[in-house]
Amino acid sequence: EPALKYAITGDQSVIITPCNLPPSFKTVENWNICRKVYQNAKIQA
Amino acid sequence: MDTNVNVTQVSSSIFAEFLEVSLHLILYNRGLYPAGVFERRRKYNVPVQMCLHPEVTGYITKVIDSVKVMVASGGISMVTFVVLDPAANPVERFVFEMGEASTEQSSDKYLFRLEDALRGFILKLNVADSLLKPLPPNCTWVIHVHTKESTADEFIQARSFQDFAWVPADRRQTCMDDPVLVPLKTSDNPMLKMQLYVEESGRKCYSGPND
Repeated sequence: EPALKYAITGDQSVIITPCNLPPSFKTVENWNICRKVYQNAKIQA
Repeated sequence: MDTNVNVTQVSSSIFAEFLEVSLHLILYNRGLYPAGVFERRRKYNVPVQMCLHPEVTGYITKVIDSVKVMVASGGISMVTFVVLDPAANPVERFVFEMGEASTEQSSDKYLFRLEDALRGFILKLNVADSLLKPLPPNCTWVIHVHTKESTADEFIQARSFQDFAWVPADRRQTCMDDPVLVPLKTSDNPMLKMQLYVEESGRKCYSGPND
């Protein structure tokens, strides 16, 4: 029972964070390179 | 005009909107993603940079949606943007510290003064880059929310955020060695009492490519 738990132990401070990590620099960099290649190909076509 | 507007809901929406812009701006200013994936836009009448990468924007949107719910419940004391070095040690921490919501009647009926304050925060974030040492290469980032156990439990068990789970943060990522505090800006607007500062690790040894 949460209310009982907080009554006994007190409502402590806690730090929470998303379980998933954000995309890495490398992933975003590769995406950007592919995007530029695609845009150049579209201009040339 | 509807006078029954829920002030908490409005201020949580304003904070969420501001936080979203700030996160994109920090990612750009600190070079956590390549500059080419950002697009210049305008917010609060100042130029800002927004990331175009769909996974990054999607991730930030999910973070913001979650934070908005927690702020609306009134249990958040701080939201921190933590920059981690390749060994997952925190090297920089942008702290958005929230004050207690005010019940007093605001004279800023059309939120002009609040907009001015938010503009000030954004401008300060833009210049914060020059006050900090360069980051080591290959840094990553995480968001930490400082809240009460009851708020965290309630939020973690909520069904609406099952696809974006939150867990207690790793203690190693929450403690910084020899932190140096760089204050940026404070707002005491009744709608949004907030303090923004940066904590920089004294052990951040990388001094840039030219040194």
